[in-house]
Amino acid sequence: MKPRVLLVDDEEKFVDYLRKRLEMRDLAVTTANSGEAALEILKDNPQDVIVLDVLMPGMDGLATLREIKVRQPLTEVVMLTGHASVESAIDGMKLGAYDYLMKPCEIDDLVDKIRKAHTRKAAQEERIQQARVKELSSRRT
Amino acid sequence: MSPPGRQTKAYYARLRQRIIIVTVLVALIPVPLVAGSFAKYYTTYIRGAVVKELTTLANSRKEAIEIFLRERVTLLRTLAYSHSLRSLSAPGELARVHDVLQSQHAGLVDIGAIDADGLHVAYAGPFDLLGRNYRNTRWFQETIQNGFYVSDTFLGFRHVPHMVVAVKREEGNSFWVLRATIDAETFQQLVRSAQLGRGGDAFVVNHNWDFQVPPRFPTSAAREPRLLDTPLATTAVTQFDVGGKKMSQAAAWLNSGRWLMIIREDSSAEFYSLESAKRIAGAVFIFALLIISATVVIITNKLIQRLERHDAEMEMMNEQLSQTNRLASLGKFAAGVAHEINNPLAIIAESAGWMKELMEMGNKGQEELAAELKHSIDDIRGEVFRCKEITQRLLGFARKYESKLAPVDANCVLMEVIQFLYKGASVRNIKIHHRFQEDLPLVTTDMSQLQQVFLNILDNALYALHQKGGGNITITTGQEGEGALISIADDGPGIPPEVRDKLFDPFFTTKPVGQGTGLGLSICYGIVTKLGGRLWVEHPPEGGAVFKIFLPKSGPQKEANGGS
Repeated sequence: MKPRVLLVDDEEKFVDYLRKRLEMRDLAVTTANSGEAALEILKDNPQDVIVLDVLMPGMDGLATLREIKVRQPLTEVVMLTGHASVESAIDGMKLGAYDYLMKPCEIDDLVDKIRKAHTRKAAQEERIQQARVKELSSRRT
Repeated sequence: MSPPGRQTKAYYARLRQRIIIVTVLVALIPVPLVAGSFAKYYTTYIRGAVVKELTTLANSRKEAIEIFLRERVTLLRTLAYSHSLRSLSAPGELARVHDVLQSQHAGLVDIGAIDADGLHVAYAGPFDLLGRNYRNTRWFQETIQNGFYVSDTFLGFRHVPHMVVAVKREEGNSFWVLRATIDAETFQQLVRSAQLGRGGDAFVVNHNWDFQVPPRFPTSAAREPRLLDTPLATTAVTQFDVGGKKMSQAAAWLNSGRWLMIIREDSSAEFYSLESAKRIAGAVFIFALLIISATVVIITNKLIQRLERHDAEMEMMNEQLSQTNRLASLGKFAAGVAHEINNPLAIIAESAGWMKELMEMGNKGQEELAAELKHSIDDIRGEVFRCKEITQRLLGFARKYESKLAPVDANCVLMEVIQFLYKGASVRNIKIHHRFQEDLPLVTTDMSQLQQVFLNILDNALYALHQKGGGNITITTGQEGEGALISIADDGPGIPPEVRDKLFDPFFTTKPVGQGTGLGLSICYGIVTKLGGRLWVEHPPEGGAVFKIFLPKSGPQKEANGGS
């Protein structure tokens, strides 16, 4: 199954091009132009990795991240920042983001980070699965 | 609150004038006061001395005259009581007495005895008066009544002043009167000896102002009813000015209140020392005026020069502070611009990457590929122009760094500033609204400084709203009288009442250490004032803060010799 990726950025064109390029690299991409829209999508469509812009009008990146981590803690988040400073990215990682990238970024770096994040999520889910199996079998005995 | 920095020449001239006038006045006012009181006390003193001297003189004259008159009466009385009427009536007896008296007392003219019926019963003298009856004459009546009588003076046949002296002699049950005519020369000499100095005069009048002793200057001895009111037993001294002379005058009654002696004296000499003292004091005053004025002018000039220099230095320092503040805000906005540019750059990078991948894939038809590529190229161009717009805005800011006065549309300046801040505001959930009056009058002002003011105030508003997590800024412009009124309102937490007074003070800030210099608003205040306008804050009851800036159409008034 292709990793499911949600791109969140208020720059529509940026999101468009990035979606096309990521789809070419075998990723299932959904897009949103604001934090609120992203949370709306997440309700019905769980995602593996979310690429999240830090500075957005309305609900900004950090607030969205916080909400995502409450609702779907296993979903990995890669922060995108246009800021010359890394402070907001560090704040994001403290809140549970997997990693960050500075805009503009190399597509290969982004894909690499998305895949690693996905792997981590998959591994995490695997462990949870195994734990559940163990629990079930121990109950049977 | 006076605006910092240099004032106009006229201001310094006014200040200088005021200091000089006040200082000279304060320094000089005591001089006439002291001189005046000295003059007053000195005058009183001299007047007192003059009065005393004149009183003494008048009293001594009065004494001498009274003694003279009493002597005459006493002599006659002695004579009367040492003779009987009969013995005196004996032929030759009175003539003998007359001769004796005349040899002893020069000036006796005649002597006669009158019996109780007023009949002249004995007479010795040059006239034939024997047998005359005086019963109904006033002098006779008075003699009977008072025991003696001294008449007013009169000119006798020899045109020599004379007077009649009479005494009453009680003898048995009856009485008789001894009467003598004496010349009044001696009496007049006694009075005249009181005529002092060149302008002095002494004379005696009776109640009808008939001269008993004529004055030296009859013209100035006209009847003065006031003097006739002088109380009997006193010596009254009065002073008056005549023809520039200070006259003193003493009046005293003589001869049982029948005659008034008046002594006049020219006291100008006594007052002369006062006059010369006044002249000296006047000269000293003028000298002091010159010295004090000169000193005050010199010191004030130095003071004003120093003040001017100090103000100029202050202005330079303000200028430097303003520059520093400017650079700080420019630096801050440069960071904002860098951030803004990264967005289009990211789109360009993605677009270019996509194009490369499209060509590498090669799985699309020629036409489809061309259309896709064209679309991407258009996007790239679009983003490039977006970058160009941002950099041009920045350049526009930098270019306006040089300042000069010119007619400016405040709406344009505000619009530029808003564009500059718009992105930064929207990512903080702050909306900037504007309601501009379309035909806002142009104001003569310094565009770059105005920009700085707007940036500072808006930056404060953004900061306040960011703390609150978002909000609205409303910028309104409109014409107000002869100028433009700009109002920048936010719905933030407002300015706490306790800091409202300090809002425009330099180095006052509510921001955390390292985030604000506290110079922004104080510099804004300085700039707006210098541009001839006003800057103030209103605190609406519903919260938030409204900064208002009024800019006059005519621009700064004071600096006629060009901007800074």
